Amino acid sequence: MGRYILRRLIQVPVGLFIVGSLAFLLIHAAPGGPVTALSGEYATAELRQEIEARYGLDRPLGERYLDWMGRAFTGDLGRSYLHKAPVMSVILERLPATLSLVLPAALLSLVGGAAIGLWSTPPPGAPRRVLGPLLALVGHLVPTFWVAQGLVLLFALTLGWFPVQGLDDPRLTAPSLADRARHLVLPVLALSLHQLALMALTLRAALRLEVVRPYMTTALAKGLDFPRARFSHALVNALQPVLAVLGGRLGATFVGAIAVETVFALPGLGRLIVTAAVNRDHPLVLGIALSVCAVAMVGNLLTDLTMNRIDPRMAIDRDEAHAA
Amino acid sequence: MRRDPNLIDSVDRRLRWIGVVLLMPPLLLALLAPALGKLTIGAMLAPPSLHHPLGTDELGHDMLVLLAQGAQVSFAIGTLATLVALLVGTALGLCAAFGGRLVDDLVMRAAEITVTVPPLLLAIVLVALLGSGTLLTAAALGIGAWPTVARVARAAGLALRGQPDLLAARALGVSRPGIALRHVLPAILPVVLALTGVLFSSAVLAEATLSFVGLTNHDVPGWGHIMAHAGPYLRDAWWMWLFPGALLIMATAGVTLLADA
Repeated sequence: MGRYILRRLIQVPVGLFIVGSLAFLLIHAAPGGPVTALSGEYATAELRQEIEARYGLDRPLGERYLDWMGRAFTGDLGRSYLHKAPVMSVILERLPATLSLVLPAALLSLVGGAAIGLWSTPPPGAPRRVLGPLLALVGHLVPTFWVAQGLVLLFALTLGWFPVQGLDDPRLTAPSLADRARHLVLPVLALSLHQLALMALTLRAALRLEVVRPYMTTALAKGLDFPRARFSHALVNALQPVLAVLGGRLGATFVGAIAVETVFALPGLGRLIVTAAVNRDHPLVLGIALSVCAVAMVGNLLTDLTMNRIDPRMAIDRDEAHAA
Repeated sequence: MRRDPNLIDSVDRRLRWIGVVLLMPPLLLALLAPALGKLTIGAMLAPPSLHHPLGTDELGHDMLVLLAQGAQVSFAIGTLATLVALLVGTALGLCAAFGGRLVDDLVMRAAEITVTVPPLLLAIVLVALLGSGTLLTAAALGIGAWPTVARVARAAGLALRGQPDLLAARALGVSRPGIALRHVLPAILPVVLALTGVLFSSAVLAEATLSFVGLTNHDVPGWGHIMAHAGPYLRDAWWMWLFPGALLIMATAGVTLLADA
């Protein structure tokens, strides 16, 4: 078990190292490479040389790689071509907008998904409830940006309850928290739908297996009503697969933010990586991608360790499966 | 456990026929696209009418023709990405199962690392670096999905180890690659192909997202691209929002129900 935790702990930096190396190679081996990105396709040879010298691109690939890797470990991911600033500071500047979107959305999808998953698990033998899961399935398949546009159409343009886009009302002299929250309602709703649906579907699938177990019969025989037994006994046991699925989705939520930020014109990381990609700002694309990967990997790690706490058999199972 | 191939498990298996019904309109649109003719400029932002059954966009293009071309893009990318994922995933999964312990370790560690990179993010990076054409987009989306396939193929392959026919083949002197290709591959194919629905619908969805944010470069606009154009006209032209989204949901839901149920 200790060995398992150690192995998982080592996997994060090793994984980042490999992803970072691949990304570096991709950028510098890509057709055109960074010089074309900076100078355009029709630049003169002198201009290309000047740019190569200015950004240190005339040095051998191995030297640049070692240099880049050494800096990356200290959090220096290079300079953005487009913003003319360190990649890290560009990312940090945009991070709050994305976090204020992603965190509430994650919370909402957990709570809402759990509610739907619980509600749509009837007692054994009772008629099945198809409406909840069917809605959840649709929610899982509906594109996030389409939902976002639909919310804008209904709640912003038609009903006028919420603002159409942006993070603050430009007429305000100082940003106010209430105004910021009003601006975030629709984006958070749009972003949470996908994970909410996934949570509901996974939880329902797991709960269906749990409610027929003997301990549930015992609980019911002792006089507990079904909803309460479902909540306090079956839910805990059903959480394992739910955690497994959701832990791996942290990165996906960040990616979902790309579409939502586009629709609502929010100044977050999602918008940033799109403009960086369109403008071939390779260091910035790479920096954002690496940051999201790092978050996703840490999310995976925390999930695995939590699952391990809940059920220590997980580690053993995996090691044995590996040895087999 | 980590991915969600069993998502559909929770939905009634009898829903398969609904899948067929859902898939029909987008599929027919894609197939009939050449018959619908070229884009012509007409009245701008015209609501659905007999002349323009799905209305027109802000440039006066007929939405039906536009969406039919988009359907071609979606089905092409979905099919290509699914094929790439199935090919790469099955090949690597079989290598892992029958290539010895070192290969197994390498492939599975690589799968673990790939899984932590969200497929859409990988696609954005690849598209930013290598270009945004149709083929590249499809390949990028397919490559992001290989670990799911590889894990399933490996598990199915491992389950077959020690089966009498494999032992017999080995006793007859068939090489390990020969066994994997001729005896294991046909046996695990149904299991692997069951992933088609998930792979196809996530590729179509991912392509739409890439198109929506402006990171693709097809010959004709994809559905996501059309929806991005609807943004400024949401208030006046609901049809520009409703129809592309509805078609996209029909296509993904239809294929998912059909392939998994």
